[in-house]
Amino acid sequence: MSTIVAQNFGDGSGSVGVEYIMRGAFKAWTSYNQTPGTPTVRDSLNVSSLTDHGAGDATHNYVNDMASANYALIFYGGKEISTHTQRGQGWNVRGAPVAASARVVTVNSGAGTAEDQEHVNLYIAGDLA
Amino acid sequence: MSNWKHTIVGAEFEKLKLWQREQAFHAIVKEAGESFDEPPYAVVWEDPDDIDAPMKVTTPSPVWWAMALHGGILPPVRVYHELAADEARSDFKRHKRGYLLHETPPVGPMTEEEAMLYLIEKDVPPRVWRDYNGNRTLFRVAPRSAIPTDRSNRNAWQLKQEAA
Repeated sequence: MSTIVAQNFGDGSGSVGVEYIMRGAFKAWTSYNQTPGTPTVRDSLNVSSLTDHGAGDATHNYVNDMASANYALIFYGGKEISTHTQRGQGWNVRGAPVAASARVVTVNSGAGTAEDQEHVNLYIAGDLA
Repeated sequence: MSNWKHTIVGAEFEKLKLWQREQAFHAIVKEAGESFDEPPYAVVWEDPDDIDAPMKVTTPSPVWWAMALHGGILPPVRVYHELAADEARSDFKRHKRGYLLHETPPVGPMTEEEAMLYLIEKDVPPRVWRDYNGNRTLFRVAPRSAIPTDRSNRNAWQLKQEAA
């Protein structure tokens, strides 16, 4: 494995610092299916495990803790209605405390009821510990 | 043994930060054309602080499972406990000892049993596996195949108690 050492990246007309790019990158992501008996993680980065609390409700535990609980989250779920059709689902973060080591999320049906989804995706951006 | 497994060893690799070690591992395994296997086990557990809540199921991610069995990537689990203690302080704002994750020498290859025990200590609350003094069985490591596949009554799942 090779390492490129640089302080800035640019296209000749302007540049940004490496730190700017690093801080803007997603620090954790996962794609999982919560409809089998035990949720199946298709792929992930910086996620050690998924705790299934019940229908549509899960905690994502990180390999590398975040620096604090003040990080950003994008999270959504999709359900297969027919072979090639999905519909977006509403989502919300349950009222549990957010920690630097984990995040609890709940997928709902759009009608406010927690519901398991086939295609659940989570992205985390912020500072790593 | 696959050739990539010889790539991810040694002092130079262990000098990387934890997140860099995972990213490198992720990339090297995928570039070798291999995939991450679904872990065969999960932890089923009840929260003693909310005994009426549905049983929880903690499943390792395939990437984490592969890193645990490979060795040389994950820090000792006590590092997570030290960071959790920091975060539990009333004056906590931000981690200042993240270097513990990166600079503490990583643990070696784990057996499947050791990996599940590590995961319990890392991702299941201590009130379940360390601090509980009651008579209920609060957690078990179970094969995924032993967990029901029908989730229609998921919010009624409870951990079966042994007969007295």
